[in-house]
Amino acid sequence: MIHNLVVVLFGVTLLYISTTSRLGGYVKVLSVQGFLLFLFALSHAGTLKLGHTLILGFETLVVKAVVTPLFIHYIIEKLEIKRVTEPYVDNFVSLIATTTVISLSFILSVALRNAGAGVDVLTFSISISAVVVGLLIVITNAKLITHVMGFLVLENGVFMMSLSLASEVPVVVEAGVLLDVFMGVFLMGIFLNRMKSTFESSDVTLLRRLKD
Amino acid sequence: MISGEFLLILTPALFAVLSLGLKAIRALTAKVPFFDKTIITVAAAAHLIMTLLLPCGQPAADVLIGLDSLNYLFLLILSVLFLASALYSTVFIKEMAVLIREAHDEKYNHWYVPTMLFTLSTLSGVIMSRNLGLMWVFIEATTLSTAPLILHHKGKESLEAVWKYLFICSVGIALAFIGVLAMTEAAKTNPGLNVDSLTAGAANISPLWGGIAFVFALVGFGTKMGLAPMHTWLPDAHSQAPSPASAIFSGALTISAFLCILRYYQIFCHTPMISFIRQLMLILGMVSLFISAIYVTRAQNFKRKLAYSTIEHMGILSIGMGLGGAAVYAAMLHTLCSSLAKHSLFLTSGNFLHAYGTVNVKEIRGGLDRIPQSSWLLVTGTLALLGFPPGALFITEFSMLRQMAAAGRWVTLLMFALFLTVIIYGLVSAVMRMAFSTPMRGGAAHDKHHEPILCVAPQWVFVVAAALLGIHIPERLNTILHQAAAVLGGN
Repeated sequence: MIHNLVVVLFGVTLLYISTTSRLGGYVKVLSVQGFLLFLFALSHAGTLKLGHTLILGFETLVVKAVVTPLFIHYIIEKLEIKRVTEPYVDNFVSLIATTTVISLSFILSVALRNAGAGVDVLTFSISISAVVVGLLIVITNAKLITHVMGFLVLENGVFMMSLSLASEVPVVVEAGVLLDVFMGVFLMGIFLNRMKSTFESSDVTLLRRLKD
Repeated sequence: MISGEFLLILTPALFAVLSLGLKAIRALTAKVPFFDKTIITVAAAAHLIMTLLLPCGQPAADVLIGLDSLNYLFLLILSVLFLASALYSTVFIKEMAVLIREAHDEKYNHWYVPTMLFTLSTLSGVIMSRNLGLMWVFIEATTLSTAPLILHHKGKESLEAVWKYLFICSVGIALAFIGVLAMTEAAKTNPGLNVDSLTAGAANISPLWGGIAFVFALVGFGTKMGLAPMHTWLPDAHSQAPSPASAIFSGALTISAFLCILRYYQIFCHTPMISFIRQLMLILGMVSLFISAIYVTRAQNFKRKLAYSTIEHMGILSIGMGLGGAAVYAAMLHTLCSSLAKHSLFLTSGNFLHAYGTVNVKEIRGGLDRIPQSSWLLVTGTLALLGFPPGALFITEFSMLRQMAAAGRWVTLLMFALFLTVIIYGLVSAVMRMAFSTPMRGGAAHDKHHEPILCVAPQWVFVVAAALLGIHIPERLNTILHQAAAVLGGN
């Protein structure tokens, strides 16, 4: 019950993130997603050993829900990045896109189940949606910091999928946590290189020096 | 007891730590370039010797790292290429040190040797992994260890290139992880993710999840390998890294990602799913050839041209695997010889950069007068890379064409030949211009530029080897190639 509620709420955060146009909204959504993933991991605690539960609990509650959003918030303040997301498409369009993605994911998951793959339709479709929505955020936004947040949404989707598919092989789930290393490198990269000043503003439209 | 395979991963990492440790000692600061040169050469030589000493039989069941003929071939390529890069690097390091002494604004890059060695260590790990999960972890590690090499020049372009590289590859790696997850779901009865046991029990793998696993693995690792349309980071990263490093990127990093895809291919090679897998690889390979044909003629920076040619060769490898049968053996030989040729061309482009201060095709004239050895290397290396006889790449590409004709794939054959022709034109015209044109008047000096022996010798060895392998393949190597093809269900 709790398990399904968490997954549904996670889906709601995906819809919310596609309508907000404030960087602060993105950061809050990431924090909420981290907390939801913590609850999600707890609902799997029955099948996991204590050590694995502690690692995953730390990863979700400390890293995903608190430290990462705080650091992103700090970077936005420190580098004085403008607070709007500057997407290439309208909020309305991206909401429609997200809804379409979620619907298609459900269709795909049901098709998978009908084809004989034992799959938890709700969890699988929401996690696939998170992966695609993360990619959409990366594609439709100009700012580097938004790209990193899109990558984090994608990563959250991968994490949810890893718990639902591979919770009997916890080592694999923990290997997936290594993706956070990239996130750390990106954030440090933006912060240390003051990406805003280096590319004049931290705007990908200026990432055009290298081309043919 | 520590196995020889494990030592291959550990040793370069230890040398890297040693290099970092020596730099921390203040009194030794003046000696740093000397230590760096020694460390990278010794580490590379040790790696090659250990590789040659290791046996390549069938590894024991359920080991994490182990060598069979397939990854032994890739390990051999990595080891030989790295030794060449290491020898070339000694000159490169000396020049960095000279620049500091002459008080130019460039700084000695203390991270160059340690990151090269970490890259060697992580690449060995990728190649020797027999566990899909561990292989994925090592691929992530290679991405991180190679990033500082792209940032070498510390300019805006480098930062942009390294950002693109890390970002695009990390998305690819996240997708590849979904492939690993799908594989655990596909083989519920066999959760160890060991390649050998998965291959043995391939009949019990759910085709639905197996298919999903392969698609995600192909897209994810294909990003790292440089298959179009996920290739966009590759020309930037390859042109920004210093030549010995970009040679490793092009020669060894890309084929390590190729090996990851081959491991998934291997699992399914005796199941009915293989025809679906081959179709996918054929399509991606053809798209890569197409993209390469478009851009190789347009790019003006010679290193970017070479990068697009790397994409071409990745496409050819993918097509070879897509054809199956005898083309699998051709793909194995192609992996070996195209790596040798690409590596030698990237190193040679470094000589041009040193002599002319640019690799822009339009600004380089009369190479034959200024750097004769490098110019001849450029010409012969390009001919070898493009598959002119008697080079081995002629044989491999010809046998792929024959396979296409035998299977009645006339459209594929036509496209393959057409794209290759365009690419040959794009590269040959640039090379002729760089080597044989008359020098610009009053432009960069006509006089000869010094070419250190270590900056040309490794390339000569590789170019000659790539040519000779077309005429005769030594018995032991041929056995390895055939066994590697047999692992992948080819002959």
